[in-house]
Amino acid sequence: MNDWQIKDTSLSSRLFLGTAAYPSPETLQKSIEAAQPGMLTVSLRRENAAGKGQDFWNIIKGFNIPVLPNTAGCYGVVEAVTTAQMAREIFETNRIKLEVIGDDYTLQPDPYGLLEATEKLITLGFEVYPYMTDDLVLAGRLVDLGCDILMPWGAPIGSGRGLNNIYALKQLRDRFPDKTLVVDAGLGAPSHAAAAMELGYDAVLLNTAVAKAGDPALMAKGFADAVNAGRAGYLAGIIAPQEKGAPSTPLLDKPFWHQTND
Amino acid sequence: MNIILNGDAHTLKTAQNIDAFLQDQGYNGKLVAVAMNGAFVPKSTYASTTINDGDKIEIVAPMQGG
Repeated sequence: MNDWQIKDTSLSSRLFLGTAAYPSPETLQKSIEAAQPGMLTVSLRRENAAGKGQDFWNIIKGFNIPVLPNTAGCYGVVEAVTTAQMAREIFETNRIKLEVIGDDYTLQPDPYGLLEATEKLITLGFEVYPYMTDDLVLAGRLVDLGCDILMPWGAPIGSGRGLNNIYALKQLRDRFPDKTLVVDAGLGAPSHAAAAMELGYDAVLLNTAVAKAGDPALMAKGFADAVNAGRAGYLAGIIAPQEKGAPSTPLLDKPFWHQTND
Repeated sequence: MNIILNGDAHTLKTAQNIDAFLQDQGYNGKLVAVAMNGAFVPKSTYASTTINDGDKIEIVAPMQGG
C-alpha cells in the first residue's frame, strides 16, 4: 500500500516531510525516523564560508530519502527559476517544488507567476511540483504545460487550518484522476492528513504541524499513521452517508423481538 | 572594485573568475551554487566567468525547507 512511484522515483511512504523550523537538529532527525517519509523537502539559503549548510545536508543525506528542493520565499519568476537551477546543481535532482508567492499575508501562490515559471522550468528539463491554490482552471493550465504532479494547498502555509475547501480538492481529484495530487501546506492535525488521503490524494506534504508540535517526533508518527489510515479508507471504499439510521445488528430473532406494524 | 556578495558590499582588489573568488573567500570544497546578476552560473563555467565591478553575486548552500 505504501510503496509507490512518481516517475522514476520509488517512494516508501505517502507522507512528505519538511525539514525546517525544528527546535534542534536532533529533533529533526528523530522526527524523520518516526515519520519514515517518502520525500524530504529542502531549500537553499545564502551561505558564508563558515555557514552550517553543509552540516544540515550531511544529516539529510544520511537518511537516503529522495529530496524535493523548493523555491520558498521567491516572489518573482526570474528569482524562482534561478533558485531552481541552483537547487538542481546542489541536490542533483530535476525535481523542484515550485513556490512563487503572490501575497505576503496568506502566502498564497501567484497563479500567473507560477504558470510562467513552470513553463520555463519544464523547458529546462525540470520535473515541476507546483505549489498552487485549489483552483481547477489553474490546475488545467499546469497540466497543459506538462505537469504530471499538482500540489494544491489545504490552507495557507503554517496556518494549521486543515482542508479549507474540501469541495475544490475533491473536484481536482475527480477531474485529474491520472495525475499525482499532493495536498501541500496548511495541515495541523493528523486527522487533516487522513481526510486528504480519504479523498484519494496520492500524498500529503507538511512541515510546521510536526516541527512546531509539543513533541515533534510523536506528531511525526501520528501523521504517518494518519496517512496510512486515510489511504486504507480510500482504497477500501468508504460508505456513502445516509440521512436515516440503519441498525448494524440484525434484529430478527432478537430476544423479545416482535414485528411492528410498519 | 566593488561588488555585492549575498546582499552586502564587498571589495575585490582585481577582477577574478568565480573559481578563484570562491577559493579566496574560503568556500573551497563546500557544496554551494552561484548566481551572478540574477542568473544561474553553472559550476562548469566558473573558470570562464569573470566577476567585474558592480556585479551582484549570490552564493547559496543547502538549508532546511518546507
